[in-house]
Amino acid sequence: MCLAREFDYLIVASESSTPAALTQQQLYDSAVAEFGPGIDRLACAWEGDQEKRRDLRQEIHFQIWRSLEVFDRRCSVRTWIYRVAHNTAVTWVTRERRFTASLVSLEEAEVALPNHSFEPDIDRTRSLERLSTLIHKLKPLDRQIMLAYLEDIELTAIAEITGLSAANVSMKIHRLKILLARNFFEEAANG
Amino acid sequence: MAEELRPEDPRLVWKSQQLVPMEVNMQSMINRRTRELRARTRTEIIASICAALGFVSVAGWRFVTPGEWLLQTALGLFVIWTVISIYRFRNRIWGRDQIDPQVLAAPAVEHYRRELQERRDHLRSVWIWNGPLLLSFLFLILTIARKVAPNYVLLRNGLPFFVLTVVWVILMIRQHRLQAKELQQELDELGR
Repeated sequence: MCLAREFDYLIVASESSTPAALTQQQLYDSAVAEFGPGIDRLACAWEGDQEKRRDLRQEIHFQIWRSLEVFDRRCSVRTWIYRVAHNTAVTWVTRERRFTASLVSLEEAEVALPNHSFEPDIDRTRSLERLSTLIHKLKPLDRQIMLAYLEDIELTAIAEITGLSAANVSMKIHRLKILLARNFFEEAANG
Repeated sequence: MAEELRPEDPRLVWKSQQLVPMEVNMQSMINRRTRELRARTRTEIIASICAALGFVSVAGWRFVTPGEWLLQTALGLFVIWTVISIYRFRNRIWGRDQIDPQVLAAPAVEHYRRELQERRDHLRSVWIWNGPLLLSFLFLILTIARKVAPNYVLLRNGLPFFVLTVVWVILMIRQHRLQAKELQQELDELGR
């Protein structure tokens, strides 16, 4: 059983077998154990400056901890965690007035961004730099979808996290695959 | 997803990036927020007293003449209010508000809740925001208006200043109310 499903199983089991649900701290500890690396990568995608990234990561963790106090199981824990993390990052960047007119949507990126035809890059560092550059050019919602895709989150879950329809998310994922293919390798566009 | 990812697949590149380890210590995060709340409150108390002193000083120095007993009385009352405020908030102003160790030993959440309540009450404080500060501001405006009223040109030239100042005061009151409301929402969430 994958760990995310096991986490939700723990919550269901606790509700049915014990009087008290998992405490806020227990929920938070479990969430960090499962989603911590993903949250840290998300912070990297939203904040380029290392010092501020540390602050953003702390802020995200704090907001997740706070939010779990009012977690009402309207969605899965993973969806909840990623919503809080993304929204915190967006608020953070908004308050820092980081958004500029140069951010593009996935649709605009297909047209506007240069069409690099790179050979498959065995140097992970350079690949990561290119990927990060691409991510930082995207508008918030598209960036959110891109990050969820990179974290291997399935389409229905991405739709749940973003609040978009599955059809809309599917179209956006199709576009971002083309975008990634143009920047990384050819065959991904057919994936 | 069960598919086999190629080495150069962006998803693999993304997930295999090296991350700087960061210890997540919730207690220290809560404590930091608590310190930030206290520092912000202290700054606002000092700013409030200084603003009121500023209004009253300008009015008293430039516009109140001997014999105007009403204005002189008002001036005297504001001076008394300033002295009382400085005395009442002296520990906060000078950063000597040491917290009782028993209170400090409470769980971080309890301590944070207490700080939120203090911050909320501070924003709602009539003594600091809605009472004397506003009155001193009105005192200044009325004093200036009274002096320039006979001169229509001066009054007209001063009108933008009056309007902008009134707008600024209204926005300040509104901002404090919104902040207090947000704090209350946060307190309600902590209380569940």
